[in-house]
Amino acid sequence: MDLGLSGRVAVVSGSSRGIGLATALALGAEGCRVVVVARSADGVAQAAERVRATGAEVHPVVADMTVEADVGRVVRSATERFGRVDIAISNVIGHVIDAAVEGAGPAAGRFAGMPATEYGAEFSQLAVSAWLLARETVPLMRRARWGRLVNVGSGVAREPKTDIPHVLPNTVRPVVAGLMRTLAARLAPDGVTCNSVLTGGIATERNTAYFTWLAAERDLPVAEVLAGFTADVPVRRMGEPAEIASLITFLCSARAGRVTGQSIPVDGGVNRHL
Amino acid sequence: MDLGLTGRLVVLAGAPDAARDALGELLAEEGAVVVTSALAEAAQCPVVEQGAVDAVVVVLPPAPPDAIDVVTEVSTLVTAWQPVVDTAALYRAVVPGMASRGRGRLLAVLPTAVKAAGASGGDLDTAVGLGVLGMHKVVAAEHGARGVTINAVLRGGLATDADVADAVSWFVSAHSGYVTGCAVSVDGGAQPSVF
Repeated sequence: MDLGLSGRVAVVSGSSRGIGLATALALGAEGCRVVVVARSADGVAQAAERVRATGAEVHPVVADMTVEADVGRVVRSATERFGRVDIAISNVIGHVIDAAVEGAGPAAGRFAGMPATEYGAEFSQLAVSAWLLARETVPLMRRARWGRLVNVGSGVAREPKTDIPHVLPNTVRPVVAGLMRTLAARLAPDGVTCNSVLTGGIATERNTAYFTWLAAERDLPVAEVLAGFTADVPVRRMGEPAEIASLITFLCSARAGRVTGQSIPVDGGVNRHL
Repeated sequence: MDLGLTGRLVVLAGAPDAARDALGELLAEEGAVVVTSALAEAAQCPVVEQGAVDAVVVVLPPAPPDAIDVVTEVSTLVTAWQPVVDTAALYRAVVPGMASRGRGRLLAVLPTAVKAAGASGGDLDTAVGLGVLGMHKVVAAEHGARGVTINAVLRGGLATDADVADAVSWFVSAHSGYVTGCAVSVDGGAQPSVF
């Protein structure tokens, strides 16, 4: 299917690995020019090589997309290189309170033990960062009368997960989905769509690290914790990053111009809401 | 109907306005002992620190009314979020006492914009309010077994202060023990969605 993405310029945050990398690869394969952004210089360089191998033009930038100045710098350098930004994928993970305790995160904890200030930190990490990318790219999209914003969110935005110590994502992920929903309403008249993909149980390096942490926390073998998790997934398996990337690519396509304000789970059927 | 509020200590946190007054008056009529506080200071109230609070009602202030696409400063978002941080601090301060007594009621009053973007509130009300509801689900799961319930009343349409106070008083009553993690619109049917 021709998705009409040839020549579009896409900024993909967190694209050195996992869902971000899969998204950069998928958009590259559809003919997008891709701005590969992540915090690690090595990670960015390696990912840029892989995305170039799809035949895409690539602009690699090392930046932290939770830092206001970095987001501005990324979008300016993308515009200098390619003259435009059509697509912006916000893809930032939850903050880590103590890496020694939590590994790769997300910040672990129950409501009962969570200092109130951590809700502020998580809000800045997830909600402010998604909004910053929109603030920097929306004026360009409005001028072009075409744009696509997609947030890589979490299934807990719609159905908080309370069987794991997850109070911060449970609180802030819905906020990000709400921001995207209101942005969608404001930007629709200008040809800019804005959607959220709600991930659940995707086999990324980070998720594997999380399950390893959770298994240690519960004093159980990792395989047992994973089996318990997948037993609750209707399709009975973890998802692949490429399955998220595929939906994102469709949402960014010319064919999805009337799909906006949506929060779409790609979670093997875990979410039980109507 | 006896709401079972006689002698119950209720902390009512929010701006000193007619909505808070209406809530305080109705709860007092029903026999509750009502302590009012600004939200930002509520977690440090002496009665909270003494651990004897039976119920908390938070009236979230309206977020800055700007449409999300015209907001330019990070500080606007952070300011809008601060009441949620204050609410988390207040809940966290009262929950251990409630759990130890096996009974507690937590309730937040928010705009219906939480369930319908753009309805009866601004864009930031939608985003911020969703955070409150997410946190509520966690508190409900963690503390439901010890008799602590947590709910939200979503104000919208042409709801009066009295309409809101009536609904809130039932949710903090002795009768609402099997309702938790719930958000109920008090909006005269204005909410367009089925759910």
